[in-house]
Amino acid sequence: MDGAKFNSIGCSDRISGNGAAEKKKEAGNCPDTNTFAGYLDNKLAPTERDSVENHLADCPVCRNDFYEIRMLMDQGAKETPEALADSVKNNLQTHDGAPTPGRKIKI
Amino acid sequence: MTKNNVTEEIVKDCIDGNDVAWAILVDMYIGVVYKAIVLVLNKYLDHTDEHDVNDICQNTFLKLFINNCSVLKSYDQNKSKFSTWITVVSRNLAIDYIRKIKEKNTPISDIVDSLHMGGVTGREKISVPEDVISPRQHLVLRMIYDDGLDVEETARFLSVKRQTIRSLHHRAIKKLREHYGLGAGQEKSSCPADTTQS
Ligand SMILES: [Zn+2]
Repeated sequence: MDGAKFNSIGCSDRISGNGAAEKKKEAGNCPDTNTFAGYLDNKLAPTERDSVENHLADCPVCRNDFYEIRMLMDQGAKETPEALADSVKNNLQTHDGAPTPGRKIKI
Repeated sequence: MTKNNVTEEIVKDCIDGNDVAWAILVDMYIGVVYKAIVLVLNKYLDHTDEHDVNDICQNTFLKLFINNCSVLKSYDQNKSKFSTWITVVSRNLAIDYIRKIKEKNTPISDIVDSLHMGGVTGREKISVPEDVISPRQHLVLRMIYDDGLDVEETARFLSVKRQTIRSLHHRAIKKLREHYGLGAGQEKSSCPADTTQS
């Protein structure tokens, strides 16, 4: 299985956050994050599972997302740098919870 | 109490603005987030910078926190485990980050070419008539014929036995043959992706 043959990476409907996934759902009909995660956990009702599989059969981008996430879930834990959790906590504490789009991601 | 129940309580407390709950949530899930980000970056970038990994980790938790926790509130505990959900969220953010890097570095001619390709795989897709085969049968055919997976891989991805894949494949081909008036033929529906017999 070679993910590199896919020219485009990741489903735009689920990516780029701020609830865009939910709003854009009708555009591409790609499953939202909850539904996608539910499918991965095998926790969806049969009708919902059918509709995800219907979509996966027709959408190579979501299929690639599915392969990739399943593979990364199957991988063992990685050792996390010790200081990371603390710096995440500090960052949250100094934040007031207001929206700061793209604050941390450097482009 | 299972880990899931504990997480439910913690998520609720986080949404209520409890600092201690946030610290616990970070401790419980930093490993899952970190792993997802590192693996995605390793896969798509030639060089993974630890600073980038840290930034995306920070951003994942910040994303759950800002806007009155609107993203965290969108988590549906009835549908999936929190670890699966946060894996999908952090992978999304990592992919978003990679896209920005790639867009910046992609020659415009490649972008124009990819627009003309039309599809994701750039390959003409065969259309499968609706309602002839089940969604799962259709998906199995796509995984095997479009994506080149073998029976073993297909079974693993769908968390079913190899025999189930063989039988889904067999029934799908049979139904399609009937649909196109090809009859049972010479029972030539053994799975081409079957590398392991039995
Ligand atoms: Zn899709």
